[in-house]
Amino acid sequence: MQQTSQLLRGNYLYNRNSYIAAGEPMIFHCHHYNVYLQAVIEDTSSYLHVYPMLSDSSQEIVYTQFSNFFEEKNNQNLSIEDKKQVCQDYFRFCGFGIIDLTNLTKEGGQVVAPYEHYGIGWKTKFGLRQKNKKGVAFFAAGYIAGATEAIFGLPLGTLFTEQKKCISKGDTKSVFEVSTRQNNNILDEDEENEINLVPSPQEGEYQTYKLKNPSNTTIDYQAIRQALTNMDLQGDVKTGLINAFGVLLTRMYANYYCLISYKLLRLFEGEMGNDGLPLAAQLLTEAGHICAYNTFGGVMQSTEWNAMIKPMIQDKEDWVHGITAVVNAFGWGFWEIEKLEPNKQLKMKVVSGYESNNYLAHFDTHTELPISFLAAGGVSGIMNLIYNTSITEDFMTLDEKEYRKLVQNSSFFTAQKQICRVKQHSQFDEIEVTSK
Amino acid sequence: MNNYFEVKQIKNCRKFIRNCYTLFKPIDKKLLIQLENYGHLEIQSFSSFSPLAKDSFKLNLEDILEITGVIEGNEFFITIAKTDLELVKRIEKELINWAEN
Repeated sequence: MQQTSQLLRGNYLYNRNSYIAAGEPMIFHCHHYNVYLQAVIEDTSSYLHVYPMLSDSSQEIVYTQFSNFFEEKNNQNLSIEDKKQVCQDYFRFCGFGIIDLTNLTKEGGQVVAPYEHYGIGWKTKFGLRQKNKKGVAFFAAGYIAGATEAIFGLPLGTLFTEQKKCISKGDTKSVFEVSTRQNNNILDEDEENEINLVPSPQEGEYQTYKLKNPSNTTIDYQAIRQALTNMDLQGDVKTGLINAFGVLLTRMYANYYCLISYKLLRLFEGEMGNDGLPLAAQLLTEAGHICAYNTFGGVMQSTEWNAMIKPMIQDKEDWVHGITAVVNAFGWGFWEIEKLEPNKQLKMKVVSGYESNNYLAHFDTHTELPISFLAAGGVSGIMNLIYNTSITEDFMTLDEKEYRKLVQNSSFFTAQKQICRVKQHSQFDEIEVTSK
Repeated sequence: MNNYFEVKQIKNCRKFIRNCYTLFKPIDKKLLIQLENYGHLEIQSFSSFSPLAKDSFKLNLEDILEITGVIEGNEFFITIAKTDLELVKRIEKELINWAEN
C-alpha cells in the first residue's frame, strides 16, 4: 500500500484544555473506565434497549470526524486506499488496537482485529466473557461502520457492523462483518429499531480559559501540562494499544462517553420517568469514581509521576494538586481547586468540561440533575485515594478487594453539592466533595 | 529487603506483576548502560519542563518485560509477564552488581 503523508493526529489547544482532531475533542481514559461504563450500561439491557446506542454513537462520531478530515483541502485527492490507511492508523494511534480495512467495499465486507482495546480490556479486568454473550467491541463496530461510510462518501447510517468473534470470549481475533443497514439487522433482532443516526456535536459549547498556577502549592500546573501533552502517547505499532501508567490508555472521543451516558439517561427517563434519573446518575457517577481510583491511582504510582511530580510534592495536599494538574492534560477541560480542607472537603471548579460541552450542544437543556457524572466521580475519587488509602505512603495494589474496602470506609468521600452549567445555567461546573 | 533495595509487589493485572523498588543508591548512567541488554532505552526529559522534575527512562523487551525508573532518583520498576518471572532474578542480580561497584 502506498504510504500516505496525510495522517490524522490533531492538536492540544491550551486555551480549551482539549485535544482536537478534525473537529472532534479527544480525551484520555483507561480500560477500567471504558469497560466498566459499558458493563454498567449492559447491566440495564434486560429492561432498557441499550445495545444499538453503543455502536451507533461511535458510528455517528467517527463518520463526522473522517468526513470532515477527507473534505479538508489537503486531503481531497486521497485515494480510497489512502483513506483506509488514515482510518486504520488513527485507530492504532488512539490505542483502540489494530484493524485491517483492506477488503472493505462500499457494500461492506469483513474486518479482522488481532488486537482490540475493549476485548483485551474486558478480559484483563473481568476475565473471559461467556461464549453465549455478545462481543464487547461495540465501539470498534461503530468506528468501522462510520469510517467506511466516510471513506466511500456514503450517507451516515448506510452501513451496520456486526461483531462475529471477540477477543473477550477467548477468540484469537475480533472479527466484524460490515453490511448495508436495514431495520431488521440491528443488534436485538426481536425489537424494531429506527435508523436515526445524527452527526456528532463535535466541540459543542466549549469555553476558553487560562490554566492558573495556584499560589498555595509547589506543584507547577503549567509545567506538568506542558510535559504530559508533549509525551508521545500512541498505540504500539504491533498491538495498537497504549500501555501507560499501569493501565491500557485510550485517546477516546469525548463525545462517545457523553452520547452513551446521556442516551442511557434518556432511556431511564423514558422507562421510569423522573424516578429513574437518580439511579442512572448513581451508576454513571460510580463509573467515574472507578475511573479515578484506577487511572489516578495508576498515575500516582507511575514512573512519570515519580520523575515529574513527586519532586514537587511537600505535603499530602500537594498530591491533590499534583493529580489535578495531571487531569489538566487529559483533555477533560480545566480543573481548578477552589477550596481544599485536608481530609475534609474539596471544591473543584470545572471550566469547559467535556460533559457539559456536549450536553449543552446536543441534548434538551432542561434537566433535573447535574450532568457532569465523570467529574463528580473523579473529584470524589481524588479525595478517597489520597485520604482513604495508603497511596501517599507506599505502593499499593489497586484491585477489587482494596476497592471494596475503600467504599466501606466510614470517611468515604462523595459529591454532596454540585453547581452545573446545564442545570443551573452557571458559567462553570462546581463539585463539592465531603466525607460521609 | 537487602542492603541494596526494598521491593513491593503490586498485582493490578491478570497477566503482569509490577515490582516497585526503592534503591539505596540513585540511578545513574552506569546502570542504564548495564540495562541496555534488556531492550531499547528511551529517556523522557521531564527536567526540560521544570527545574524540580527529574528525567525518566524506559526499556522494553517484547511483550514480556518493561523496566522503568527515575534518573538520579531511587524509584525503579519492573513490569513482567507472570510467565517470565525468572527474569526478575537476573535483573535484581544486575542491580546488586551495580550497587556494589
